[in-house]
Amino acid sequence: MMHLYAFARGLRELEAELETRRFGSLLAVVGADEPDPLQHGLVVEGLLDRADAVLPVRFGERFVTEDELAGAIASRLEALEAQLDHVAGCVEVGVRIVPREEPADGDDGAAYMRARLREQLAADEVHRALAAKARDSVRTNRDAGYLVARADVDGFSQAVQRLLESRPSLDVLCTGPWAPYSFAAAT
Amino acid sequence: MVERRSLAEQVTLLDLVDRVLNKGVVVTGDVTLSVADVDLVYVGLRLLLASAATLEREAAR
Amino acid sequence: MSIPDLESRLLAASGDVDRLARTLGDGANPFPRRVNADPESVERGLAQLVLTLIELLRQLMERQALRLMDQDSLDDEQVERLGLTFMRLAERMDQLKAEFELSDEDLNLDLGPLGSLL
Repeated sequence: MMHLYAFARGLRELEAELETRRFGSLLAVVGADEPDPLQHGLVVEGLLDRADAVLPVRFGERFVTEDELAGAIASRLEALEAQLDHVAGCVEVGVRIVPREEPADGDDGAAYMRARLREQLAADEVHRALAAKARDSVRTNRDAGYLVARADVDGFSQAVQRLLESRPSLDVLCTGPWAPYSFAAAT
Repeated sequence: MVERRSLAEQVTLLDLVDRVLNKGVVVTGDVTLSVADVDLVYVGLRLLLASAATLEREAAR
Repeated sequence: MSIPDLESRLLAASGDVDRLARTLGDGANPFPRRVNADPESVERGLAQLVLTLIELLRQLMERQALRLMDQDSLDDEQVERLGLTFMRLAERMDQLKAEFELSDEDLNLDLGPLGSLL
């Protein structure tokens, strides 16, 4: 049984307990032991410092035989290589903006909506400004992931702080750098 | 014995696990059925909402 | 990578970080943080899945309503009614979430036998 952690290129060193399998220009990083989600995440983050490009695999990809692994990857090789190209040298910075809980004036629906609209527009502005500074971005309503070159993380994080300073009504969480989970799409 | 974690550590830990379970390349296609179900519901509702807006527009004419 | 290294990955936060932390997992993640097989946990896991779906739908609907409001497609009465409904929904969600809330213990994920990987 093999557990698949990530795909990588330019891998310089590998932790004990992990192995690699080569497919085209990429390496599939696998392990024999079954991790829990946290362990999986820590392994992938560890790879980020040891490789030129890392494409995280979602938790739960496991294979009984080498052939099964090879088969699954062979049919997706081109897409995987393209995704690795896209994230090479980059990390992900996450920005989550959550609406403040207004002390509910239980009777004023219109006031609630006006406050929510103000917050939503302010949040949209922040995301737009950050997207312009990143190589790529993805967003659901509250959560965004920004693909940023490693060297740019500090600058990006300062930009986030500056944007927050002028918008005290927003609750914002900015975390990173992470392996580029949001830019690893289903293939 | 588990040490108390700082808030920063707790938050980033949760964020990491959230990412691991939600995001990343899906190779075999059958990872987490329930996540697929959530996506389906999301898409279905968007279509529904989009239709409602269209209907409203038409009704207002 | 080790867990203590994670602390440095909080790059910026404004507002109620505690509350923000609790929203993690409210998104599209339907998984309970511990996966146990006993009936109580399965039930709680299912409840969390349902709550997550409801919360997702609520956010979606609110977002759409705000769009319509921004486009001036809603009259005052509609805005008032929507606002009241969303407020009540949010309150109800908070109650339900509190009923099925994970304890602090569940956040202390046990590494078990895989300490060797770190």
